[in-house]
Amino acid sequence: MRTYLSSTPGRLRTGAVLCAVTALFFGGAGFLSFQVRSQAQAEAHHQTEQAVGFQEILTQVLQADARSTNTYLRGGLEPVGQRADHDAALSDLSRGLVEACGNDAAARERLAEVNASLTLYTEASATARANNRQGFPVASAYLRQASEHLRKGIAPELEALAASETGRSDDSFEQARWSSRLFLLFGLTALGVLLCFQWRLARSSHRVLNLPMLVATLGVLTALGGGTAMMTLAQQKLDDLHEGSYSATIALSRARVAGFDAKALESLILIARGGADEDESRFDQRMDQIEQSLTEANRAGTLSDADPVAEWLAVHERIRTLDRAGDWDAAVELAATDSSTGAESAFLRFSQSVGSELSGESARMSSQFRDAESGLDLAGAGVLLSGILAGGFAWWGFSLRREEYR
Amino acid sequence: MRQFFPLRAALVTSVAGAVLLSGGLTGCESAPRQTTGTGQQSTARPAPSSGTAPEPTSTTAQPTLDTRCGSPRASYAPGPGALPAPGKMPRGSTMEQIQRRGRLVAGVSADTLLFGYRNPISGQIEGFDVDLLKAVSRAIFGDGRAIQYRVLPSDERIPVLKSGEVDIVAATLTATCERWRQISFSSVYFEAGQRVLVAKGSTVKNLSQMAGQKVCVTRTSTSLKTLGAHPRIEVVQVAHLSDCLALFQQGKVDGVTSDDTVLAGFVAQDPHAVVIGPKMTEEPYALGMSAKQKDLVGFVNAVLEQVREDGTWKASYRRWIGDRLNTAGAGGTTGTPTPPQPLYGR
Repeated sequence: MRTYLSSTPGRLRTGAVLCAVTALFFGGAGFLSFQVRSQAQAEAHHQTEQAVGFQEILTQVLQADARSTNTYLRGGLEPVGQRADHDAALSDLSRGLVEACGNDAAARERLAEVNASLTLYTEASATARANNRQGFPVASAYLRQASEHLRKGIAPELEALAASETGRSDDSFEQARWSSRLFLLFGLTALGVLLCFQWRLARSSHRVLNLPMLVATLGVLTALGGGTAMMTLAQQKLDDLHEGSYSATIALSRARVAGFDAKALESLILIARGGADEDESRFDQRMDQIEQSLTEANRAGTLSDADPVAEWLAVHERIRTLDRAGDWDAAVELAATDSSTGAESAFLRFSQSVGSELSGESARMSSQFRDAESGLDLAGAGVLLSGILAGGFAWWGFSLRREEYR
Repeated sequence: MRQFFPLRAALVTSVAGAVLLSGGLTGCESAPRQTTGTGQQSTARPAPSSGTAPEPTSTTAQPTLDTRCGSPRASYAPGPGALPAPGKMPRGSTMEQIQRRGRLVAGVSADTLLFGYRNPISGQIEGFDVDLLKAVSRAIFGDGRAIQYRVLPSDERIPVLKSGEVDIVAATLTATCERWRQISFSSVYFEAGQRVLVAKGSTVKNLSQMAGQKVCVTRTSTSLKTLGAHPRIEVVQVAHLSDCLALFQQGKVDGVTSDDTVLAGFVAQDPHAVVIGPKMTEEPYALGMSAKQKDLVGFVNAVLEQVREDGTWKASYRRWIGDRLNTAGAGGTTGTPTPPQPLYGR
């Protein structure tokens, strides 16, 4: 081996193999870098949609709970349409849980917990409704149980799942960022190896240029330049998306969940008539979450209404003032009325505004994800082809020099 | 027609109870030995009042009442002119402060059918206790609706009076010597007693036979103390009375112990339940007020006297209770009831 390497043909053959392998390695690794980026972006997209999906499931059940709680506050029978909406929301929730069951064992375990709590919630709320219909005050105990299953069982699990998906999505964003760095590293290494051998070749042969090696080096350089530009562009799009529609979507989704929970709590506080310190404190926490989420969404996107919660919050403050001043009936009227000045209408405007912004931002996010993913596969294929060609040219370049020794 | 909760018998029983139980069940706070529950319910063992009380072999013992403060039934006598015309409360009095505020702030239960509950159809709070509050409101304002209700779990009834958050509590509140040290009571307006509720068809005849079973009770209620004498019963404590009925219906507890009035309300909501055994305690209900507002207590006592005399008490009894205590198996009266006569001298 030492004899082989000490001879010029042997060194030339070894150089040829190293340069060809380096170029092929660059092509393969570059191609994989693009694949990793493409896959990471697709996963980030999917995980974000999953996170929003979990929040959507939670929104549906909280919405159903807010409606039935409001009916309980008003007294009397639940309107038939409202009952149907409640049942439909719970059916959607069950379906959503089945669809959300992926291959993640931890998520499956959590979803099983949610499912178990959902069964208990459904049973408790149905019993509350049945007792309420007969005029039995034990309905309030079942209503408390249902609220506990929802707020201490279903909601924390779904919120934890959404947070977990958001965390995984952030990891995928980071993975995509690393793919650019790795591609640059592979490219510069390959370029360095080719330039080094070209310099050694020029020095040993006293010829400045070896044309095929020059083509191979230029091929790698071009692929590296083009690929890096493509990666940078994709990363720029991803950064814009992450700071923009992605953050806005996540924040709006959280704001909506907090909003529906707070609406049900508004009714529960009135039902408890001064005996709901825990619910009052939870309401305040939810309002803080809404404010924080809307601030994030506003920073990330362009909300048409900068403060959609302000009107409902003002009505809520009037309700609390009336209740604390002893005018409970007026407080209930303001909370339950369908008139445009009541809490129901104000909340509807809030939920519609946030819902509409969420739909818009979610669609924008999907479109931006697709845009950021476009061209990556083609670019990866281009880099692979460049690497193969560069490898071939490098081999050819060394072959020309070897020919001179025959 | 037999007398409804005769005063003499009650007094004799009270004195006998004081002799029998001095240093025993009387006036001691029930300190749970362990608490393992989460959320709104917990399993805790109330300690017997002193040492370890033996498991009673008989439940036919006479109900007893702590009388170390004299009779807990005795309240402040209303003075002359204690009942001024509505809207003309004496200057500087607690009633004038309430009148100026424009509403009586009252602590009530919202889940005790018959005494204080939220009517799910109308959304309004109704019941025997609420009728008394309306009478007080009428006496102050000339309007029985000038009341701000504050719904209280049983363990908050005394603290809200001590902190001055409410003017009055009407929530099946038993006058006891221990509570007299913290708040004041009106004269007694109803005589109840602690009993046990089990499933219809159960072979259990009294609390002593429930060893090893789960029994639900509200936290800090007087009923909890009785369970201290039954160490083999697993006690499940909850904040709200109706939580006990829900747990019973869900099969999570085998029985509930509380006042017969409360249990009669449970039976009205669940025909598969029945009240068993004799009365284990005397539970004289009175309206709770701040210990500092004796003028209000005298005023309320004057209102209660009026309520007893003008037929309001009887009408309210017929409307809310009627023969439900009998139907539930909780005893009571079948004819026209007689309100407990007031006892003063504090």
